Amino acid sequence: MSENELELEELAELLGRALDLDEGDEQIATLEEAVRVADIRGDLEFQYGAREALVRACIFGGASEKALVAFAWLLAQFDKHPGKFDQWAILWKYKWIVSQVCSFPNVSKARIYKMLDDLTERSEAAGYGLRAVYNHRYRTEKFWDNREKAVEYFHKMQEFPEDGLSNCPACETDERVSFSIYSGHDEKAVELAQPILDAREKCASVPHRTYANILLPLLRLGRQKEAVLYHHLGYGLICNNKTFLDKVGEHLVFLALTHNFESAIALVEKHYLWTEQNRDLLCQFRFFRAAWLLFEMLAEQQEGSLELRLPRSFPLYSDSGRYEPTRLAAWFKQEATEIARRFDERNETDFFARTLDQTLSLKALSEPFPLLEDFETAFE
Amino acid sequence: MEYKFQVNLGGIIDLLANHTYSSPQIFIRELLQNGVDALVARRHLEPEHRGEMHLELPPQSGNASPVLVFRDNGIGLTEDEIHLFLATIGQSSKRDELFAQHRDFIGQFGVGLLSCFVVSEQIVVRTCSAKDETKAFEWRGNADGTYSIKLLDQKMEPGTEVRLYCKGGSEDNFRPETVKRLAHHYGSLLPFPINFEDGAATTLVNEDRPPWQEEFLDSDFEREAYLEYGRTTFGTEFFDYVSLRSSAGDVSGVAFVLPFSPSLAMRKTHRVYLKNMLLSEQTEGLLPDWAFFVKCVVNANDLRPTASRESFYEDEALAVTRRALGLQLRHYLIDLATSNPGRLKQLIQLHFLSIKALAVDDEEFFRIFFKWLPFETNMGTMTLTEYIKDHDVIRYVPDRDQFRQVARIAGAQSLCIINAAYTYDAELIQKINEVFPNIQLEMVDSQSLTHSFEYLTLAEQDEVAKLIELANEILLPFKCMVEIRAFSPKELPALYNVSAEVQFKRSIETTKEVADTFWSSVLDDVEAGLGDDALAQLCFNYRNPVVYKITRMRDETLLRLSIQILYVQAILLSHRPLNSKEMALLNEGLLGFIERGADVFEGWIQ
Repeated sequence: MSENELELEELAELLGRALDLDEGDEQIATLEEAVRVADIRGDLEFQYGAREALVRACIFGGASEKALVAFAWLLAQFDKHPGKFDQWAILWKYKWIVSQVCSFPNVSKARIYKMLDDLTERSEAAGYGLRAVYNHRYRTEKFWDNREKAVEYFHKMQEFPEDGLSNCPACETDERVSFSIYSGHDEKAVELAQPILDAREKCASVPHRTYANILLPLLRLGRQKEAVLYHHLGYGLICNNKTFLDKVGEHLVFLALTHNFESAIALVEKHYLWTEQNRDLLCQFRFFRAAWLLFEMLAEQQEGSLELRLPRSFPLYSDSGRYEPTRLAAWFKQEATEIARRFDERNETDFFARTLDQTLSLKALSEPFPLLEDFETAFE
Repeated sequence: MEYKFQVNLGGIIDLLANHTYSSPQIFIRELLQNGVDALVARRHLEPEHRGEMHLELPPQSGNASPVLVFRDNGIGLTEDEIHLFLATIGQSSKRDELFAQHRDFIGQFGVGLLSCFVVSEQIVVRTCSAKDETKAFEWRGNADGTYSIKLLDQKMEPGTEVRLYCKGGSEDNFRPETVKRLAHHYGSLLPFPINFEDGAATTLVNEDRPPWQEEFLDSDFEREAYLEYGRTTFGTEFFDYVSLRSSAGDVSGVAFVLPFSPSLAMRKTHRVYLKNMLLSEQTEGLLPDWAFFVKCVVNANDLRPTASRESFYEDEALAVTRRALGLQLRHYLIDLATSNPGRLKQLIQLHFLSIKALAVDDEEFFRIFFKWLPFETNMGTMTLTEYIKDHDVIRYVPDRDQFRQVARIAGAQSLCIINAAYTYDAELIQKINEVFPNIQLEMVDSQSLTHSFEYLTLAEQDEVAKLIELANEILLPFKCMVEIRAFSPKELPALYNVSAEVQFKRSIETTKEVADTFWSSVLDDVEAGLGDDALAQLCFNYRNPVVYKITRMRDETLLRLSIQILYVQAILLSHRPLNSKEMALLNEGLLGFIERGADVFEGWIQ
């Protein structure tokens, strides 16, 4: 077999294997290898195809920084070879990218806006309406809590009909749920979530995100029992994919506030490592903040040290596995604070600092509520 | 009397056909469901009643469209009930309402009938209620939304007869083979006999009982019955079976152990019956995520179906059922580990991914199973126990690209390294200390591997100092630092190693070559934000004769050219594409050598 054929066969094998993998590190690594082989070969179509698959794998597998790099390459080649590559596919990926780019505090607001303008122009030139674009403009303003603009864009989005670039029904519903929460309408949020909770609408990231998002609203409404159910259902969906690190944070907050401390600690043990692997700072922020709340509450609840299995790479690692909750609380707070500082500096708002300040006030919702008993015992 | 539906029936039919059900063939299921409901209701009234259902395709004259007759001797409908089911349909202008209201028997009857319009032009229902045997009614409905009701002159046994007049284009659904196959497909577990009549012959469609509804004299019979059921149901010779039972969801059935490793698309889909009616062959969410080594057939009496009645609603009952079934599969595996380790080994060869997925989250299970789990190393696949036999330290690489770099050199150092880039592997290895507290774990990457290479003596270090200094100077712009060690194989002049961080930076570099200024600056921002200053590493091999010669080279120009070429060659040997700066370096180096060669050659001529 010639070298040429060998490379081709290797590429086909890598791409095939990647498609048969669950989303996650192994899939990403397999596609990175496919990109490497395609680059050595220098065959534009394979280079493009492998990167297209890589972008998707990174977005759904928790490696947005890699998605960004591969996407920049795709967009450059797309523009360099007019008509050669699928237009819808690049625009759809562009949406993923603009939804992630705010999480990189070194990317300036001006550049983020320029990206949104570019996506607007490209969408219009391709004959799409601006429903998708305004969805992302809304999310962007929400990111730095420019509330007035966020609300304006959310409503503006509704003026455009659904089209090939707008989100699937499940994601649209999920967005309405998030917006209601953002607007302080917890009850309406839960009501809106019903089609998702009834499993009538679902997709690759819904109900995963929705379950996590409505936990706090449900606690605020005093509907602990439902929250417990959605915790059980939701956590099972996200616990093996580090792209959901931020949502693990929501579950952690829920467990802390309902005093399910043992489960909460198990969550920190299982997912701490993700904060070293998922480089999305927003995700890290949410997790660190939740862990801070947890250890702060534990420090108040009990005296003495806690036993925790954390990896050696944890900066406060102790061989004995014993940790002072106050020290843990301080460390997680400090990590969250540092990220908040970076975001606020770029955003020119104090949204993240405020979010942090409000963390401990969540304790007002603190009320013991056991997890489903029969969930654990019904089958024993 | 002529009535008209209050709604656009065509719209509802379209909704059912195109959005709610995955196939028009669902109409057979709906007929059977209506029949079963009517029979169950009648049995409440008369516990001794012997219910049955009957499907018939009466011969038609000439080119007349086919007609399907469905009969049950169930409870039947009174006139009021007929109006009630019509009202249910009439009030349902949306699918959600339709399904929210059809929970009771009568409403369900109406919705079931509606689904028959997907394949029928006209439907005629004749019914006599067991509650009032003196009157029988006929309802005649058309796909355009008109219908009529009349009192029948003649008497009728209690029960219901539904006649479907085939709609043009639906003839395939009315073929005897199709009807019989579908009746068996959906109704094979139903507890009432379903007779199918085609011309002269009448056959019982649901004669065989599934093995979990039978009693067996001994375990061999039982085993054979289950495996035979697997053979006839899926045409597959399964590796093994596990019978399943859960009080949660009131579930019973069987999990067949697949005789091959399933692809992603094949995983997690099971054949599921709800109250003995086939719900779906593609049901997800029945088992925990890790349990994709089996294919199940189960009946659930107490789980809630979704609107389309093709899968289950995600609720507490389903979650508890899932846990219960998962535990039974776990017990099966643990039993096998003690009763038949040889067989377990075969199973693990096929399904190690499933086993690893469970072991990673289940400490007790991990303790029992870790010794059988296979891992890939640069010296072939082996279990951790086999690995530990020959090595005091478990060395592993959790990154695919790093393993590729490490593997090409580790063998020559007699190092056995595990490729832990596969899902679960790194996590599993890190758990090993829970079983063997004294085993040392070492996470290796391509750069740390060079630490195990032989260091140069002080005298040798003096010799190479100039080379290293110059090489570092040349390669600084390439974000590469230079080392020198003595290692095998000696044919290899230099190793180019990059960490995962450096590899990411290389990909940024490559991308910036094609990206415009805007995106290049975005990429710079991203890179700066990550805030690590990792460098690539070029490690010269002192044992290599060429490198040895270069360390003694006096001519600095020649030395520069040599370093450039060795650097680029090391990148190529690591099977990485060159970026344009490296390409330029290669060209410069080659041309420089040619020029030097030409000079020397010219000197000889003169």
